[in-house]
Amino acid sequence: MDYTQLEAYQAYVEQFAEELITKLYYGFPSADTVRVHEGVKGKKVLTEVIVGDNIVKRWRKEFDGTADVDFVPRVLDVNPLKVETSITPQEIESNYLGFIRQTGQSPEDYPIQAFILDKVIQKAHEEIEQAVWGGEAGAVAALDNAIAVFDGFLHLIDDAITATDVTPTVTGANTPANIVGNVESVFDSLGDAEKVSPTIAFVAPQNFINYNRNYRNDYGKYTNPQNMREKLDFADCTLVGLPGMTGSDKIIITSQENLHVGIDTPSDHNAFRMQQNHRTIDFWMDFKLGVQIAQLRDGIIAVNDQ
Amino acid sequence: MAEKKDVTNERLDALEKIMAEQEETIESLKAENAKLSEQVGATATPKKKAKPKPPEKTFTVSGDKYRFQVVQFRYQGAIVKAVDALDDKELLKTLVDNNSAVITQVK
Repeated sequence: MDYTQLEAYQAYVEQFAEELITKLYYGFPSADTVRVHEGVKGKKVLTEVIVGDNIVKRWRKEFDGTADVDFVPRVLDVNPLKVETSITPQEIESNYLGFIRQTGQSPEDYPIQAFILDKVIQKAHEEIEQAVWGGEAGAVAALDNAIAVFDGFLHLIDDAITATDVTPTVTGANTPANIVGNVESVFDSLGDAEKVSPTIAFVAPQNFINYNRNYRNDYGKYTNPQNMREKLDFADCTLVGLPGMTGSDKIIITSQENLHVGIDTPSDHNAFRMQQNHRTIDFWMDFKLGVQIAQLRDGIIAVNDQ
Repeated sequence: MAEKKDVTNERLDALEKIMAEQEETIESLKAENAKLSEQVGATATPKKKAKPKPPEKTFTVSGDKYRFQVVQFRYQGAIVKAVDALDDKELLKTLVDNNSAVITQVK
């Protein structure tokens, strides 16, 4: 069997283009917990509408409604990125055959082309996830990785703390002995309107695990985490552990609709491109990605001091 | 010769008239431009407020020197200004003991 036949890969991509694109752009862990916008060509303005106090007043004939509504534009900016990799199918052959036998799958149902593209997509997910949270534009000028191309959610929040738009709650470092209390302290700093709405508490996976240990130890109860998600017992809030937050001790609580990811792709058949280079196959794809938080101010979003 | 001079004078008068009209147009356009500039100024996004900065003053807890990294923080449900916290030794010690990231050690 000649696994290096480029036509087989191209045929696979053409046949499953829609599934592959959906998997790539909606498959990274945070995609389930944030609002994803597709087709953002350059900038998308997420206008925050802040309605002032006392808009319901005693009736009188004069109109007195000026400056009661403030529109604060926040721009979701997408940045050009690329995925490039070279694969030598013969090197992967034994790994693929082992996988097929182990799982009892038929090579017709899961061809080596799918196996290889799945590996590429998995790696792209890891890096997109890291950039979405930990990205810092120009942090290292010489770095070409996605993490140095645009500001991720953590950096946007740090900027908002510096600008005093968001006030962090002092919790200190999270440990398996204090994290339940820390999550509750951060939640308490949300505004009442957010407290009664469905919210998400974003933490790093280790903090998610520590929360469950802390809960078990303090209350003698087992929690029921599934897919790094679980409902908290005191409000309509879901604790979510996301790999993109690894390395951060931040607890971020806000509504799912507040965190936005923008994506733009070339037309479907151009999304995945490839070229044979002797025994290797070069894969590449171009797309645009960026993140923004629509409402970045006290009451709407709550964070701790880490 | 005299006839030619009259024609030239007539042309000169006509040109002066045109020039005067153009001057008037320029003045009115200038006035309109100034008016529009004022309107743009009124509707343009206001300048960003200056970023507040954390206090530069350092404090010492157990012989180590620290300073604030934030302008304000939330502690036990209340918003505390870093400048005010500098006077509260108990709070400063709690922040150090909790490894709070609102402060950073100065070396």
